[in-house]
Amino acid sequence: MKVLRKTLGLLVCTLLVSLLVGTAAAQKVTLTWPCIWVGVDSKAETIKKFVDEFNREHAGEIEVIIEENSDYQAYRDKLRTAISVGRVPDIFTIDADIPLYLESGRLLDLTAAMEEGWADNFIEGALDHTTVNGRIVAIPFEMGPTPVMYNKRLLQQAGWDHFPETFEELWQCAEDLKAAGIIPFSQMTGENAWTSMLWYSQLVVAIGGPNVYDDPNNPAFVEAARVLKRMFDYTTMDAVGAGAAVSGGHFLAERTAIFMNGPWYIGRLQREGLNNMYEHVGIAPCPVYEGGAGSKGGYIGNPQALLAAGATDDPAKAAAAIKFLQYLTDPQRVAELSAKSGALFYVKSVESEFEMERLQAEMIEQVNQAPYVVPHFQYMNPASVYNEFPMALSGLVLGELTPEEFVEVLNSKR
Amino acid sequence: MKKRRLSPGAVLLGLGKWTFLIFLFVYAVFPVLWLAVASLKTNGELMANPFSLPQVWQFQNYKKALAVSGIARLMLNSVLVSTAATFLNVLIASMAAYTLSRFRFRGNQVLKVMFSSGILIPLNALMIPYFVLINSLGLYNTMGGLILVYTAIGIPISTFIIMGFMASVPEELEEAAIIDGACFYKRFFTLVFPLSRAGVVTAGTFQFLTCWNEFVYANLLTSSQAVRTVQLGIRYFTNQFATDYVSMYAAIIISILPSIAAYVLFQNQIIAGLTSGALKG
Amino acid sequence: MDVKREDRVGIVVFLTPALVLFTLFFIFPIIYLIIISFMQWTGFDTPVFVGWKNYLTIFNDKVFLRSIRNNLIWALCAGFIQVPLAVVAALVLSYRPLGWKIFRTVYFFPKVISAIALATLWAAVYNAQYGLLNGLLRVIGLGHLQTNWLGTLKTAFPSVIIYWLFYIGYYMIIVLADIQGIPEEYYEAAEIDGAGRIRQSLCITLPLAKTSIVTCILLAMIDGLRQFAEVYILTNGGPANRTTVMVLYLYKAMQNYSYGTSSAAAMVLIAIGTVVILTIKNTLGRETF
Repeated sequence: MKVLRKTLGLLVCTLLVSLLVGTAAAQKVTLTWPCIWVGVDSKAETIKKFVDEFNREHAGEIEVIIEENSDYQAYRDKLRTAISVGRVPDIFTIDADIPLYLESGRLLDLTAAMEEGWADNFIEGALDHTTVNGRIVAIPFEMGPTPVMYNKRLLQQAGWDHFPETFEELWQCAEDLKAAGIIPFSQMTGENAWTSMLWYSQLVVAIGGPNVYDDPNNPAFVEAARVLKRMFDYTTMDAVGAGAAVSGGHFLAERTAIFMNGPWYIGRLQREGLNNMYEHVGIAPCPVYEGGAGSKGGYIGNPQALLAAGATDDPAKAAAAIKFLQYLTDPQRVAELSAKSGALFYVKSVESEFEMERLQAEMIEQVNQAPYVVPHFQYMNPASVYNEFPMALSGLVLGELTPEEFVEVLNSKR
Repeated sequence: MKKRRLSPGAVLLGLGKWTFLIFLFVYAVFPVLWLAVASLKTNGELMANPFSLPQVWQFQNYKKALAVSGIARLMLNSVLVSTAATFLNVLIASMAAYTLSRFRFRGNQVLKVMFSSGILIPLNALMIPYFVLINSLGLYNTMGGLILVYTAIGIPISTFIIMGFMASVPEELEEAAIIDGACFYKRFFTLVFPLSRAGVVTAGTFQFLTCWNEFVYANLLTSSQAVRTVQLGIRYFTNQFATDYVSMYAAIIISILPSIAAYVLFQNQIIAGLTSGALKG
Repeated sequence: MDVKREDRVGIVVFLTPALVLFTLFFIFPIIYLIIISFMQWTGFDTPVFVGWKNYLTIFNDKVFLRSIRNNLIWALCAGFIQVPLAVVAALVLSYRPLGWKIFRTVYFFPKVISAIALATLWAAVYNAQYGLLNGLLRVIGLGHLQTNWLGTLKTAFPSVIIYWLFYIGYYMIIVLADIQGIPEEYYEAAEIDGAGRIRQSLCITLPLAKTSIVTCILLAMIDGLRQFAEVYILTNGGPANRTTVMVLYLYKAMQNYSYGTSSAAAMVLIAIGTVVILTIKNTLGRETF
């Protein structure tokens, strides 16, 4: 009958086509990587170089395609949406809400490959950050200590030859800077209030000690808010509502003397700093808070970015993803990436032709000497809390919220 | 016009009128002009005095901005996507508007209200459903996907606008056409559609501008530069220039230049279409 | 017109594409929204039914209530300040003063630049350090009025709305088009009767241009309720949530992995919008629609 013949024909065609497609698929695997290390990001150039080299070496077998995402927020939206509907990207980075992603079950299990010697590339204890129920599901890649960055030249103009070691000294330094016509701090409440959030993280630990996050009702949170608010008396006029570009811009243009950020910013200091200001940048741990539970030299830092691959049923794709990730985490390449961008990584350092940057070396030294390294506020809190932080901060600074109310608002979002 | 003796009231009114007109004129133009001038300064000049004229025109700001952008490609994509989506949207909306506004049948009212209520839906809330939809149709990261989404989201408003204009085409005209033997499709294409031209152009302009300006879904549903549109480029620029305000301004000017150029070229058609007012003829 | 037999097929053919698109892109997603608004879902776990909890949560959230207030203010300003400005401009231009064509072209021009570009531009204008506004104040001797426009509690929201209100080009053109379709005879008759221009405008032009005016009011109010990009770029809802709007609120809820409350907020927005539209239709637009 006509219908029967038609369906048979369709069946045969489908079988043929799928056979063809099947064999064709075995030819080349494409891995898409929605990448945020693009544009002016300090790692952009080197990452692109690595990807091109990888594609050349594996021409015809594997191709990695970078999709440019320069807007962090848009990237997070896309990642979140994609994972919610079950479409994980092939390769991607995670920089926030890490526990959610690690436990999502949508990441490729890397344990087997790790056990074959890949794990040796990483420093002691690093992989613990990304192990869930005994399975390693992501790679801790970029490390993020976030010390104080300050402009030695400007401090000298105000009569300071070293960075203040206590908060008493810090306020005095701020007054002296102001008297010399220099704006002391870069602060911001726009976007995710990054710089100010980092300062808050430092304050919270300086006042409450390294275990301060164990109790959200620790009075250190309120006291830290009080101190942060006072810092806004010594900052630029546009700090409220300012984004990262603005607060960073002030430091890069030598309008503010004291900043805070991580090693990835070193590349930008070198390339975008005006008047060679990079030569004059020094780093220091947070000053000691008189009467606080923090210790001298205490540091803030945590995994800044994890590398992960999307879970997949296709063994060829899984193998390709692992190959690429291994390529990226090869110690020689990471040494190059680190030297060229300033960023620090969880991969063991090796002897390489690439010299470590001055500030990087200083940072590593200070981290090694630090009595503790505590993750920052954003890392230690759920999305609903840290997304409210910028709003609460602007409320605090503008007098709408008392420090107590500030902490209350944040805690109410848990 | 007869010349009247000017009373103080008339003078005041005249003054008020011109102040009003000129204020709006300056308001529409000045910020863009200011930005254009600022984009030709150095950062030092900008920070010293926002009003100064540049000593030397810093065209390298534009070179820098262009180097960062890839804007030509983005521009082309925007033009393709917006034009296609507008054409499809206006056609489909006109067809629907014709049936809904000029025929009485059961369910007509319900459909009218249903389409119009679509205007209120906050599209940002629909990220997940649209993502799933476009992915299941296999249209992720394709211009076709964007075109489909844009065509669809403009249906409620375009239908609403065009219905208003189509309803006022006199019934007698159509009945005369029926007597002359014109069929359903002929009446639409040769009579009602042309007479509703003002509504069609209004809806079309609105739709085109919506497509051109759209950012959220252009970002969510595309991933490669080959498919992306201009608005993503603008966001890209502002993220790139931390201290280099003047290059950022140059980038913004670059991104709006084509819109301005198109407007200058086509303004006669656009305005003629909008003002053809063949309603009360 | 009544439907004749031969028209039936045509009607179905013409309605189908719109209906298909509408169903796919509106009806299904709305059903999805309604369902999720009664669930608790982070996007990573399985949705759990929680009844009205999400709605209770958002109505107890001061930020959400503020966003409703902001949107309503915006809608009212749009409908009853922006549109009237546009109507006045249209009236003035309808008498074809010197250079009226130039004015018409220039007024429409900002609409051609995207909202994102305009907002970015105004962020530069409002910039506390190098912006045009503070610079202007300095130049005319009002330097003491300088402030961080987008970062001060009292000035933030007005700053976000006011710049937007004077972009009247789009509505003006629509109304102007309608006005220019009014037959000259009416005005000639009025002139003979001794009516001045203002009288003519009030008694002839406005009533006859009612369709376009009410359409513009509706479109403007809806636009006021749907605001997102401008606020996102200028202030991201700050400072201290002063400039938040409903769409921004629901977007942030999504960023907090709270799809349930996000959908609930979306439903509230739709409900408010429907009420607004119906109110306008039944008061101002009674004869026209």
